[in-house]
Amino acid sequence: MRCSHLGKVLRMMNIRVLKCSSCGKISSIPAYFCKSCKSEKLEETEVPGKGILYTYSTVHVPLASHEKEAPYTVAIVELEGGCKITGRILETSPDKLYVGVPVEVSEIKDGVYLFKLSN
Amino acid sequence: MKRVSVIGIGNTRYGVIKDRSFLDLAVEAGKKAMADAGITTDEVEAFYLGNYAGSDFINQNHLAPYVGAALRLRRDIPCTHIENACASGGSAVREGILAIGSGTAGKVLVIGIEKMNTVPTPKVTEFLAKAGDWEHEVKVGYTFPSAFAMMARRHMHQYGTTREHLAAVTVKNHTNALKNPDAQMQKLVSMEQILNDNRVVADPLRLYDCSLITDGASAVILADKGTARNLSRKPVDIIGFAQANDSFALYQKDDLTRFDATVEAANMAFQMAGVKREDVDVAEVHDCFTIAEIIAIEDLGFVPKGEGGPATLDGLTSLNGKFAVNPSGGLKAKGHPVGATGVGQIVEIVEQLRGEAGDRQVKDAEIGLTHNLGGSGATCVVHILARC
Repeated sequence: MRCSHLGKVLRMMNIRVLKCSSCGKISSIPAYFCKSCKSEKLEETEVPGKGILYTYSTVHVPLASHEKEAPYTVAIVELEGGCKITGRILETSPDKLYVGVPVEVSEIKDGVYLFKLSN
Repeated sequence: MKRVSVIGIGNTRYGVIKDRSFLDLAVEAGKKAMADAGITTDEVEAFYLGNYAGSDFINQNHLAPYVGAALRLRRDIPCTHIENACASGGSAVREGILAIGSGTAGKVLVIGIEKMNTVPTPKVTEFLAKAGDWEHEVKVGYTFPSAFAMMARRHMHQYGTTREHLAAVTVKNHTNALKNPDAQMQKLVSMEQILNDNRVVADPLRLYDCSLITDGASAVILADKGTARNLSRKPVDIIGFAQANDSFALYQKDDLTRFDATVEAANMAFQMAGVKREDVDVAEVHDCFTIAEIIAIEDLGFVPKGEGGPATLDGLTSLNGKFAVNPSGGLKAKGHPVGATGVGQIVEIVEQLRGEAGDRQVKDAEIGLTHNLGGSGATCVVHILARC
């Protein structure tokens, strides 16, 4: 029997991506052609919201629309499987951030992935 | 296709110019280029305007006929606006070349312009960010400094590039700008001053890593080679040109230490020109941030991958180095009026190849290159020019 509570938690931790039916390559959304083989046969699937911090920057001079939030850290995360997505890093201590540190999705806010350091 | 030459050039001063309108600047640059070419407005047979965000900065659209009418251009010619983010100017020049090459126009006016000091810095940052991917970057809070900061961090991670390497770009370009009366920044800065400056814009990039918020316009007159030989005292030929594209957003790129559009455009332009990398005496490259100049000289093939920082620190790209990069001061110190930049780069290279660059003249310059990048590298335009 399916545990609805567990299902909800798992969904929150996952990230929707597109998988190419021809070559198996994972692309982040949106994609209309496979990044690798240009096939149009892309099917939506989910991958665990875990990966490594590929690169990041702490923004001190923000956009007018994000002025109240600065400083904040934006990032590119490489998910398990190689596909990259953008998001914010919640960790505020610069000493704990480095290229390659494991991170995971903490929440999705207004369509933006917020990552925390993995334990 | 017909071979195309540059027969006229003109710049306004680059800087914070609040007392002059968009039209004032565009008309000044256009008039100077026509005077330099020795032609009248009635001889212009096509007009291209490079501008990024006039609709934001000055609340004006339909900009090409707006400027064309102010210049009293002929009624029977096309006036067309080209927008390709920070590569708008380079793309506009390329359209001008194609118009002549196709035989639809004999003499073409290209003006690049941006008037940016009309709103406070956070608003400027927001307008510039629109050249990124709104849904996946801007909404997250990306700024352009942060995009290039993320590339800098990867470059540091993969190749050991240091803050000192980045600072070497700033020191050099400020030094060059001091010899350019049209440049916005007229101040020398030392390596020590830069390394001790703590004004972080987007870590690891600090204030001295960033180009300027600039008002200014640049213009060129293009003509087919035959006309150029009859008209101009010192024509400069465009011997190679190419434009390429790349993934739109940064996260879609495979390697964040390289711009594929630059690599592709450079390869195509060099092939068309029939010259080698080592033949280039002088280059104006798109140093919107210090890391961008380091990546540019690698992508263009002037130095091996990962060696852009050490090459700059060692003085290879100084005015009297092996090949001079950004003798004008570049975007970093001459200034970066977004839509004007790609045209201004051509103006600088033409001055260099004519031997008229004054104190910043690169000795015996015969072949020059311009490199104009749009967004976080989704557009790149390269031109190669040669003294006749």
